[in-house]
Formats: sequence, structure tokens, C-alpha cells
Amino acid sequence: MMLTLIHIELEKLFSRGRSYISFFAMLVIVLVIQGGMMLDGDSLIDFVSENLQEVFILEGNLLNGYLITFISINGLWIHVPILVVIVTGDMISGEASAGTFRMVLSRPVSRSKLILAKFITAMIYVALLVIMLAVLSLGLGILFFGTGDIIVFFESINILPEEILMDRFLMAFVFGILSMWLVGALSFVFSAMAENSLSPIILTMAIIILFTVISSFEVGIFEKIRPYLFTTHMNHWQSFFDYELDWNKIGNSIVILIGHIFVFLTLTLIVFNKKDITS
Amino acid sequence: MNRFLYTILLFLWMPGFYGNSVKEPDAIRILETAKSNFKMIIDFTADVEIEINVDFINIPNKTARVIYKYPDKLKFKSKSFIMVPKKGIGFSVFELLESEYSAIYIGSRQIKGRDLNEIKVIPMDDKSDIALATLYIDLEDHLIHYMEATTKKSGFFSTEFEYGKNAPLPESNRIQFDVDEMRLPLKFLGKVNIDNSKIKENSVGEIIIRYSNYIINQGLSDDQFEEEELNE
Repeated sequence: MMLTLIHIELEKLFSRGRSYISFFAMLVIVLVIQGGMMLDGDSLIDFVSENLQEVFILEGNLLNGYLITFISINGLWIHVPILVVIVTGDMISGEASAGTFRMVLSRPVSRSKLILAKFITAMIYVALLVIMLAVLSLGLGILFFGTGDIIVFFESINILPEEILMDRFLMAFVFGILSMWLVGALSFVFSAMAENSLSPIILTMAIIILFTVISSFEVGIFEKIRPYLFTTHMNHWQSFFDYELDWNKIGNSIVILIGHIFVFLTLTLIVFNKKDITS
Repeated sequence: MNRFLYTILLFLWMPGFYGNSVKEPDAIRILETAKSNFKMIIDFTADVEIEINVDFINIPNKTARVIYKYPDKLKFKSKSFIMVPKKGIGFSVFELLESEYSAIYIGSRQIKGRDLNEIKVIPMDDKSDIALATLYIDLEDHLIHYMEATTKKSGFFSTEFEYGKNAPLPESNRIQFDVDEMRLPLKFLGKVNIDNSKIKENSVGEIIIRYSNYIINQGLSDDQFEEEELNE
């Protein structure tokens, strides 16, 4: 029964043109970044390493697929939620605004099962989106620029050898899927409340932007609030590029993200089960 | 002006200035002997292992291939990313001794159980980044075992050499340098949040280069260095 529902939801999702916008946007963004790096990547590397070059002789391929993937996801992680919510935020409210809920719920299926099927479908969609980002950025990056070590600046200057980088990126992308699931789950709460497609998208993005801004302030009251914001933990994909992995920090963030996902899913179920379906 | 002051100070320091009549070794002759000793090496290639110990730089030990041609052609080749300090690599001292310089014999000191002769060297070439260098040379093997230098741009560095069967080429080269003189790239590719108090407490960085598999005097051409540079 559940599998049938998920199958139906997946068919509905991928029969809509809107669902492909995010994939297409992702492809364009990655191609633009890779093209830009091909044209001007050397200048970027010179700029980054300019001060180090005054003191050190630097040798080796710094402009490589791993570095470009790192730069891509460092910038994209703020924008991927937009691509996620334009689809997930519409999955419940879209049916409400289209007036199809009464027809769907007239069949022998519980509201909870319907929401769970939609939720699992949304999570599959989000996972596919992040997997596409990983395959495109890593695949094209390695194809065009080869492999090599990367230099990242987190708390200290970390030079990570290429032998460990594929594993680190895979872990970071899996963590990224979890972060984006949280974004999808949050948009589900608003989607269950709303009767139109736009409100859940705007509300979800507004909360993410607000929390991200607060997360980026490291002073005063904001410093105390930061650990409790899910956006702070979403940003911990960067921890996979620490020189030595801090599994306590990563594990803590994973637990908090999963906790938030369950809370948002529960809220969605409560809201939707109590909702008066009038359309 | 700085060079003039250094010269005056060094003259005041010289025991001979106060009328001490003990005959001292000739600094220039010691340096030239060390130089001609090293000059037997026209070129070489070697494998190197590089260990970097700087508080805020995390990098595993790296291996590379180095090619060198007397007096100043040096090239590291590595597929993986390596960082080697521009100053303090063993052979750069001979680049200094190839141009005009003044030298003053200071005295002998025992370092790590070895009697070494301390010589101050002041480059006379205005373009030289080194303002003052102190070399510690063993008169038995005519090798530089220790060197300290103050540069115009990169602060202070010291370098210690250990020799083995390939002398006058070193088996290892331990370079220590001022970390607080390094200007680091700021926010980019992440977030630099370096603890400044840590830098002040521990302001010396260290790089150890270990050499092996020397191939000496095989007739390296200048082109090999130039082609590599063009390919960079």
C-alpha cells in the first residue's frame, strides 16, 4: 500500500515540469563554475596563495577537480535550499490549491499514510538533487581538471591529500542530503498549513535566511543562540574538511538534524490530520 | 644604511678591535674553502621528504623530487601539493657566497658536541634579501653545519644540516623561521580563525627536509629548469 502511494507520488512529481527546474538550474550553475574556473582558475589560485608564495615554493596541482567541487559546494550550499523548497514546499499545498485533496482522500487511504508517502517522495527527490550536484561537480571537475590535494582554511590551514578526498566528499554529500532533508521537512510543515504554493516556499526560505544570518554572527547574544539553530549544524558539512575528523561534533550535528526532521514531520502530520479539507 | 650599521657593530664586536693580538682564522678563506668544497657538486637530483611543523598549518609529510644546479637553480617536482620555504634550503647559502660579501670571524663555539667556527657574513649586493647571516663551519670537514640569517622581507630563519655519506650534500635540513612574519591569506575557501596568542607563544615554524637517492653530477642542463618553469 505504502509503496503504491510512493510510486503514485513519484509519478505525480516527475510528471510536472517544475520538478526538473532544480536539476536544470543545478546543471547550469555547475557548468558556469567549471567554465569560469577553466578560464580564470589560475588567477584565483594565485590570489589565494599569493601570501604563501612569498615565503614558500609551492608545487603541485592546486587547481583540480576536488578544489573546484569544494568551491562549488561552499557557495551552493546556501542556494540549494531554494531549489529544494520550490518543489517540496508545493507538494501538499499544491494539491490544496489545485483542489485535488478531497478526491484523493475519498479513497481508502489515511491522511498520515498520504503525508508519509509524500514525505518519502520529497526525500527521494532531494537526495537525487544532491547526488546530481555531487556527480556533476566531482565528475566534471575531475574530468576537466584532474585530481590533487586541496588547501582549505578552517580554523587553521589544512592541506588534505588527494588519497582521502573522495571519501571526505562522499561523507560531506551524505551529510548534505541530511541537511536538505531538513529543509524539505520544514517546508512540509508550512505546506501542510498553506492553501497556496508560494507561502510555504517564502516562509521556509525566510526562516533559513534569518537563521543563517544569526548563525554567522559570532558575538553577543547571537553567540549563545547559534548552537541551537539548525542552520549552524547544516553548515557542519565543512567539518569533513577538518584535518582530523571530529566525530563528536559531526555526530552531534547529525543527531540534531535528524531530530529536527522528525519534529517537522510530526508537526506536519498533526497539522494535516487536524486540517479541515475544503478543497 | 642598515648594512653600514651592521658593519660598524661587527667591527666593534671584533676582539681585534680592542687590541687582542691572538691570530684568528681568516673568515673569507674558511668560507671560500667551504664553497669550493661544495662546488664539486655541479648538479644533483634527489628524493626528498618534507615535514612541516607549524601550529596553524596541517599538512602530512610529503615526498618530492628535487633538481639542483650550482649555484642557484633549484626545482621541486611533485604531483601532490608541497610547500618548501624559499629561504634556508641548504644550497641557497652558496648563492649568497657567489656575490660580493664581507665576512668577520667571531670565534669558535661548541654546538651538539662539535667545534664550529662562527662567521658573520654581510652581503654587499643591495638586491640580496639577506641582511646578515651567521654561518657555523667545521674546519675538519669544511661543511656548514648551522646557519642563522636575518632577511629584509621574511624575518629571521635558521637552518641546521646533518651530513652522511653524500657530504657535502646534506642528509637532512632543519629550517626554523619566524611565523609571525608570514602574512596569511584571509577569508577564502573557508574560514581562517587562527589563534593569534598561540602564534605569539610559539612563533617559530619548522620544516625538515630529508634527502635520499642522490644522483650527483649527471650534467643537468638549464633547459630542464626553464622548461619546468614554463610548464607551471
